[in-house]
Amino acid sequence: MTLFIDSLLAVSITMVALAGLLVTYGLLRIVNLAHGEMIAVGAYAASVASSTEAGFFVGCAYGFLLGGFLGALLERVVVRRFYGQNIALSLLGTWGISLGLVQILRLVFGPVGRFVPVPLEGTITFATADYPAYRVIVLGISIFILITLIMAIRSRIGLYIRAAMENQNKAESYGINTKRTFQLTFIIGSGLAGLSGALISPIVAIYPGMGTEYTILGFLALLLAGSHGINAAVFACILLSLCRSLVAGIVDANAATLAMYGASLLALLGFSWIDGKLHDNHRLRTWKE
Amino acid sequence: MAHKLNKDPSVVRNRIYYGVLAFLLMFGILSASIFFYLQNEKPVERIVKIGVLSPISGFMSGHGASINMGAAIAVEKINKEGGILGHQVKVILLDTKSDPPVAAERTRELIGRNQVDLIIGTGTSAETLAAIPDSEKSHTPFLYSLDGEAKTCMPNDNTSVAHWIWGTGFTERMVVKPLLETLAHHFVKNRRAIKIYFIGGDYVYPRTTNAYAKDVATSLGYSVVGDEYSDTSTQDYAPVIRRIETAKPDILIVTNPGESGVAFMRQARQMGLHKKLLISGFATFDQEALDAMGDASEGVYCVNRYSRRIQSPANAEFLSLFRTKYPTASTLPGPTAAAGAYGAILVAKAAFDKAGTLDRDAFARAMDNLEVVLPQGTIRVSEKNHIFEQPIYVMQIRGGEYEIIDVIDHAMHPDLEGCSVH
Repeated sequence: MTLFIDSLLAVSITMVALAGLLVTYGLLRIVNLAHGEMIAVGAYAASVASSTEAGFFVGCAYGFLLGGFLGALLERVVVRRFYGQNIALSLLGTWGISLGLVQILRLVFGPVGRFVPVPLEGTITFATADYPAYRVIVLGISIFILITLIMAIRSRIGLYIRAAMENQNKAESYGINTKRTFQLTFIIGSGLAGLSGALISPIVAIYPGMGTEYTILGFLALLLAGSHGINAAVFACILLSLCRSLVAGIVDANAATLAMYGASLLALLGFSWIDGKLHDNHRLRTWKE
Repeated sequence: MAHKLNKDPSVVRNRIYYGVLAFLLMFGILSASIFFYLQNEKPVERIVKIGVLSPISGFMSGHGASINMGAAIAVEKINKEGGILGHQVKVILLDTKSDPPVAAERTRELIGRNQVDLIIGTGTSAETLAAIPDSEKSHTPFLYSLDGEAKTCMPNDNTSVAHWIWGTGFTERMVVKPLLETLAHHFVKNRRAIKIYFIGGDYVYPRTTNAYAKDVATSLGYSVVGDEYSDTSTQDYAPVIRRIETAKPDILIVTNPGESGVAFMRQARQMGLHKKLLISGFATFDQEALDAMGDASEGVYCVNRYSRRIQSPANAEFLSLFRTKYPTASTLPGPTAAAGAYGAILVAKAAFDKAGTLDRDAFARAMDNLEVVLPQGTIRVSEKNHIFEQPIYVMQIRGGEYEIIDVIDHAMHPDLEGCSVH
């Protein structure tokens, strides 16, 4: 029971951290490898804000705005060229951005880590074990974000985005400003990354390369989801992170990492086998196009 | 037909292209040879080059920053005082990325291309081990500046001491017993049945340190109730913390340097672990880590060779040099890293001064039994194992400061026990 709730809390942290990545991939087919660095930017924003009078929650707002601003900038300069193009382009482009951002963070804040005090101290006792109160809050937030995302995608706005992605010319002819739509979606995805960085900052160590682990997990999830869209990506993400936490709880952290990579490898092999049988390799299609 | 072909614009363009290319090539070769000629003509003044292997990036980057600062102050101080035997000193800083293969590559670069007179640094035992073979082979003195298990024996022969390797830090054999005994004082009521749990990062240093500490704990009559290692990229330590809670130990030993230790301590604090047991550890609670841990380090016991609370003229000088050069640095001199790099360079200078020449064999002879006053106290270079004999401080962290609660004046490593060079 304790193990299950702990895993749930860990999964919720991962989900919060990766929400932005899933949005940009699910809606724009852009794999944003700079997502982890946007998380780091948000975390630094929170650490700066909470060391002044502004406090943690203002820091979260800063994180969202800063992430969004960064997203707007990147979209304008780089990412705009990748819509509807080969996915490898967006991979390479955003990876370069990610390397650059790490160096900028190191230049500005130095390589020494920072910390953010927990906004909510104490533990919540449930059944036989104590749970950190803040993690429970993050669980709540992750559920909120997930529901909001589902609502947004099902709403008229989501329809516009999907229409624009599906057929840009047709969408334009129906009066949708596709450029603006893509831009806003990417900004929201980046803003979410910044916000999530601020939210997880009290739990993790804050240093320039802190986002890399999340990007790797997210990338694996996207690989598994293939062209099946945002729902599949969210599902893959939850499964992977749950697998890691459960194995970490039962065996140890090293076995967990191994299990996560092993499971995704097996799943990919399995998928390609099934796709081969069905003579339809739509999973790989997005990656090859 | 032939002249017609010649007039084909693409052929003409090709010719121009090759012509320009050939010209550039010739020009490059010519200018390079002139450059080298001039450089060789110029009488080069002998400078002493100190190579610093520093983990500027990667998971030990906090240490890297401190190493760089410590080395910079030491060199500035030496140059101001007239250099080493009248020669100016220059630091050549290379980033090891906290990665052993990169450290090995950088070592070859320092030895081959830069022809350094000595090497200091690295952030982890694994990097030090990667740097040792080439230093020993090329007869380049290497004073590794971090603490850790003994690494000063000959490769392939663990019973004789290496010629060109020195360990400036303390080894687990110098600190584990004093620390455990001091901790035991806090359990006077129930000293007969102390339960102890070990955790650490999954690489050489934490594993060897904890393995030795486990033996010592067993010999002191404690019962070891857990022993576990996590990859340094681990993000979520909740499962580890749960297992510790279930085992109900009195003492938790954390050997998890760098950012992963910070993540562990922050999560342990949030899960209320500090209320249930006493936390201590090795190489995990350095100043750099403390700044990133915040309140999560409060009350933790640790052992180290340096604290800025040490009252001595040498330490006062070090601190004033540090504050003058880095007035805005949020990290004050870290125990192992900044003071360690600073100390290693001062010891090397003392050895050159004693030898009276920059000759390497003379340097190696001068190092034997050399005594130097450093910020951390007086150290003596052991002739037997090349490991510095030095004072060791048991400390408790209170309000972000290291309060010294016990001093072992002259800790020595026994021969070459536990040497990890193969």
